[in-house]
Amino acid sequence: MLTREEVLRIARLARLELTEEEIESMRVELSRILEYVKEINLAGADDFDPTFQTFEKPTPLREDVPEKRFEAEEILRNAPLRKDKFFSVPKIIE
Amino acid sequence: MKGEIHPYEVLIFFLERIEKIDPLLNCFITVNENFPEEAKTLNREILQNIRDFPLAGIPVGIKDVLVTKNLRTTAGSKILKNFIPPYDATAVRKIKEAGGIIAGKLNMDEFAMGSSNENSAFGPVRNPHDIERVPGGSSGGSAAAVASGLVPLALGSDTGGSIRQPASFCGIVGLKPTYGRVSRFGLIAFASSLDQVGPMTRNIKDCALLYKVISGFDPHDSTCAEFPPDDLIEEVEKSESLKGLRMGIPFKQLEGIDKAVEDLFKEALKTVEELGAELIEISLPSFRFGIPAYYIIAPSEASSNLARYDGVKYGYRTEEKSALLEMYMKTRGEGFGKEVKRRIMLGTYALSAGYYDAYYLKAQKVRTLIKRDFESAFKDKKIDAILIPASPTPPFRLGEKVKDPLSMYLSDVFTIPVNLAGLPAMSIPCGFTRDRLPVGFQIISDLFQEKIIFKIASAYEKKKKEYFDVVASL
Repeated sequence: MLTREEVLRIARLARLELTEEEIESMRVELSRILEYVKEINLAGADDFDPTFQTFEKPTPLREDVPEKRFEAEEILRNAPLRKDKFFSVPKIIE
Repeated sequence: MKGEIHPYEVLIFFLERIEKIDPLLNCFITVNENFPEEAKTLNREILQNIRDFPLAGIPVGIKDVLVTKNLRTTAGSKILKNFIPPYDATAVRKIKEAGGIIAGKLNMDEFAMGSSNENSAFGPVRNPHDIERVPGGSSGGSAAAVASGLVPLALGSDTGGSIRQPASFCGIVGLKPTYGRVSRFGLIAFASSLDQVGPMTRNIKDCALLYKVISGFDPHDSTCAEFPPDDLIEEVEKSESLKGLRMGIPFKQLEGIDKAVEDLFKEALKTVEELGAELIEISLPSFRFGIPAYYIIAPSEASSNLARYDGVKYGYRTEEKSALLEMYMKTRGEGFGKEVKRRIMLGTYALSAGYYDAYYLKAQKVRTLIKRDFESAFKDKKIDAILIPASPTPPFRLGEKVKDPLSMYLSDVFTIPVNLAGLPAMSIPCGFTRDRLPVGFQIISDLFQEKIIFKIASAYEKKKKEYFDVVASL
């Protein structure tokens, strides 16, 4: 069973703020799911290589040619907060 | 198109149908209000040039996980509820270039995480065959829209069954192509080693048509295979007999499934046999480890992919005044729904220091075993295709599983191993239960052998016409 502290540690790593109610339900549900996925230990896969990609393909290379795809405004229009041509974020250094 | 009626008038019919029926089903997150107008640019030359414009004037619904230029794209999430993409996904661009008209963006489980469409920030979708039941997920809006005749064609995406399970639940055709067959450029990423885009339609020929349009190499997706568009339309037209084909059936995996599904599946096997195919029992010993491996791999990849939603460049940002780290945490805590948070947590845990080897790495090793099971069937036993149900149950009721995440996860038992192995698979209808609920089964082939899938599906369709082209009566 996960502890409350473990849930809070993972949530912080994941940059997620959880409500009190969520912390408790996550603790219970994640514990159950983690218990279930341990079934993979019965598969006898230890001596096999992992499959990260299902078909092998060398990383394709191309010429480095500059290409203009977007106007700055097209990108900036989705920003939740902006100042002129910049994304705006809360103050980082006091 | 002989030119007697301009597509504009046909599209007005579809728009009116959407306006009339969709309030009941909730398939659309965003209707492209002006879509009939867009057809006005299609002139006689284009409309008569079926070779270059095979979709001229045809409305296509797009799962809201593929970005569409200047048309809101949400991934079913509050965190993207106002996102207006500056570009088209490659699959969408190809549909437009083929003359297709984007009717709108279809509802889905948030970030494609779910099997019932109940995880959408825009409300659940209802199954047009029984509105008390779920349409499946995550491409639930796409499946329900096609099944109710709101659009003839739709795109879905499939990471663990998200095209095939809803296709089965709604009585339509859904294809998950081989990983690498269709470009993922512009597909909002969930689990990058598993995600694939595919067509959802009411019959096999439409499926082949849309599949041809969207498939093929794209330099914008480095995992895309270097093949030209896959044209199987002729294959579909001429397919009648399945003589000489060897079908592998993993009978052992059927234990414990719903009786009605089992009966309809066995009836489908009989039909396939009557068409000349040989049925061969195969064993897939690692198949049952698909779900546990998937629920480590997919959340791990998701936890990394969804790190980009930080409330800075696009999407939702918390309104509470806070310092930077708190801003990230509140934005994500408020912007993501329950299931998405659960999977981000799961993936973060599995990838965190000290757990990587026991979870992520081991799951990827299990993936090797699952892949080898399939390889052994196709290569050693010389099987052409594997047949298996798409879902262990018919469509379940809204609210039935949503409170129990694990029981929801188990409903993808037949679809997940296919994604883990990167294989192509199609779900096609095989009839209705006594309650008139649709049931489908899957045809799985070896990598890049979609041709065999279409051959089998088409021969089956010609024999069982009554299961196809059904528009749910509402």
